[in-house]
Amino acid sequence: MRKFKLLSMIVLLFTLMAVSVAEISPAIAKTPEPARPIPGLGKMTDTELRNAWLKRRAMYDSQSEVIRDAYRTAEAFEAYIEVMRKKHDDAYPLEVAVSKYYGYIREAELARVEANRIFTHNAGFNTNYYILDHQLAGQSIVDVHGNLKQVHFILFEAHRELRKDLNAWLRRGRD
Amino acid sequence: MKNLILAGALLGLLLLLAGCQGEPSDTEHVASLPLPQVRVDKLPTATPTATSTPEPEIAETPTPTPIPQAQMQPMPTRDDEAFWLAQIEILLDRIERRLNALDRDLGR
Repeated sequence: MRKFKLLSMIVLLFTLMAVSVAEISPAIAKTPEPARPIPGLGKMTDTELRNAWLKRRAMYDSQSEVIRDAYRTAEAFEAYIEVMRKKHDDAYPLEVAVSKYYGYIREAELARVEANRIFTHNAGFNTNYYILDHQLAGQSIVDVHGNLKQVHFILFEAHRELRKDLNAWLRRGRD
Repeated sequence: MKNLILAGALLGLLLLLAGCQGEPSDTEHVASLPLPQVRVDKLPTATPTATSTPEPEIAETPTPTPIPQAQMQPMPTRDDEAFWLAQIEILLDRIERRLNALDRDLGR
């Protein structure tokens, strides 16, 4: 009788454990990440924050490529001016345009120092860009986004001015 | 009896461990491209079989008439305006494409 009681208690215990495991483990496995509010970004999960950070890093790299191509463009302009000088043509407007262009590129590079500092500091993230501090990570994204926009505006202006000056030069040749 | 209780406790622990092997919640579901599917029926066979399609007949093509020499323009050299203008145009287009893409990403 005692053995039967003990056995029935063990069976009951197993049944309870199996039922609880069946209920609890899917809940643990499929719990969605909580979206927590961040000033300036709204509610974001840790995964969304990480993706946003990686996207900003990609934008920063893209701006690096733009600046690299900008220097190549300025060198091509200088070579073109040299060709025009050999033909005894007055390329002064182009020289002014290139000088202005170099000024814009330098301004953009100086503005990027802040973004470089933010990315180097990597506040709120670990070395694999996973979230360590939700609020700090969100603040890093907000700060770097502002800086990327500022640099983008400078580069946009630089190329708009250069296009305008080049078109004016080419039209002058046809007039 | 003691052995029975011990066996029961061990079994319970195993059940608990097995139940907790759920999908980790911190994995990223990174969208990835589907694996390329190998179409076995399209793979070439090592030896041609008797039922393979016969070699295509190559029709006798007539002797082609000589193409008239096009008026060749000399290639622009580094001393030419056209060369540097083309270089500048290519670079500016590349820069403008990147800036447009950045414009979209920055949400202006």
